[in-house]
Amino acid sequence: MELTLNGEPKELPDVMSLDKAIAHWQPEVEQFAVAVNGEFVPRGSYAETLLKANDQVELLSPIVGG
Amino acid sequence: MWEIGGKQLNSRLFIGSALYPSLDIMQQSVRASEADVITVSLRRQTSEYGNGNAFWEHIKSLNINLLPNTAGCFSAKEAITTAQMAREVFDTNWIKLEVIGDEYTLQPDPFQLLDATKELISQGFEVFPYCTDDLVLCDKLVNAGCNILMPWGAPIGTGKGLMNPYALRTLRARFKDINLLVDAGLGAPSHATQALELGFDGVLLNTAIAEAHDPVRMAEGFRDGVRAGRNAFLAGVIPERDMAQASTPTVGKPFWHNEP
Repeated sequence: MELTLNGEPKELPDVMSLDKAIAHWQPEVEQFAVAVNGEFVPRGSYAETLLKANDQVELLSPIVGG
Repeated sequence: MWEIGGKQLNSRLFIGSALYPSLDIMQQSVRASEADVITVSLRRQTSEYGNGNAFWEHIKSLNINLLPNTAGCFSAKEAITTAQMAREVFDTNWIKLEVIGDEYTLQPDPFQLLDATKELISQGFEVFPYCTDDLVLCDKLVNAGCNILMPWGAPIGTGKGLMNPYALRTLRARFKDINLLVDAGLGAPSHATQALELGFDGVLLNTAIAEAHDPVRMAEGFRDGVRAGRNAFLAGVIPERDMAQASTPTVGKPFWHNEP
């Protein structure tokens, strides 16, 4: 199925929990937080959060800021 | 020492982490400023400077308080989600709440800001709202539960200093028990001094240091400027006079009216 990660199209083999999708994508950053369709998903809820086709996933990491 | 957001700090200078020529110069500048708080943000991972594990390592090694921002958000909804993500990543309930209403001036949207503030306070955040110097907006933010207000001195990155000292003095007079910081628009250490002279508790700035020819030395300048302003406020600045008043005693002057 197709969805977006940080605005880029991504494929997942099937409906998948967020923790498995993150393991599949292997983000380079160690520190990150995730929102799905504009809603924050706490780290403790990754396993129970199922991703569906056309979901918009944002995986954000620390950056400089003013 | 002074207290803000439940923490004891020495410095009254809050410093940003963006726009420096390199992460090493950022780190040196922060140390030179002696700031106890640094602002940070969240973005999608890119290969650009200031993102990724290297930035995180530099920040961690500074061992100072983090103040995550919601920069770039144009709605309460975006800002709330960003704040929730920042709380998890940076492990703090502090949030510098920015909800922009105009992309040319980066002027905060007071209505969205107030909505986001109410929601985030209900979720246990310590909200540092980046706001205009409008008295009624600030009053509503305080009524919503803000212990801190961060009115702009001038639009972000302009270096214009305090555009409306009267409005800032009014906020100080009306909100005696609220922590007030000038956030944004400062260009020179004298601007920071002026804010502290007005009785503000501190200042938050980034561009004026990061884009100086020598950021480390400018960080020292702002460190000293903030101290000068605080000392002046505590000591009491004399009232202005229109006419001269001699400082050297006039009694005992030689040659006074002795000429033929």
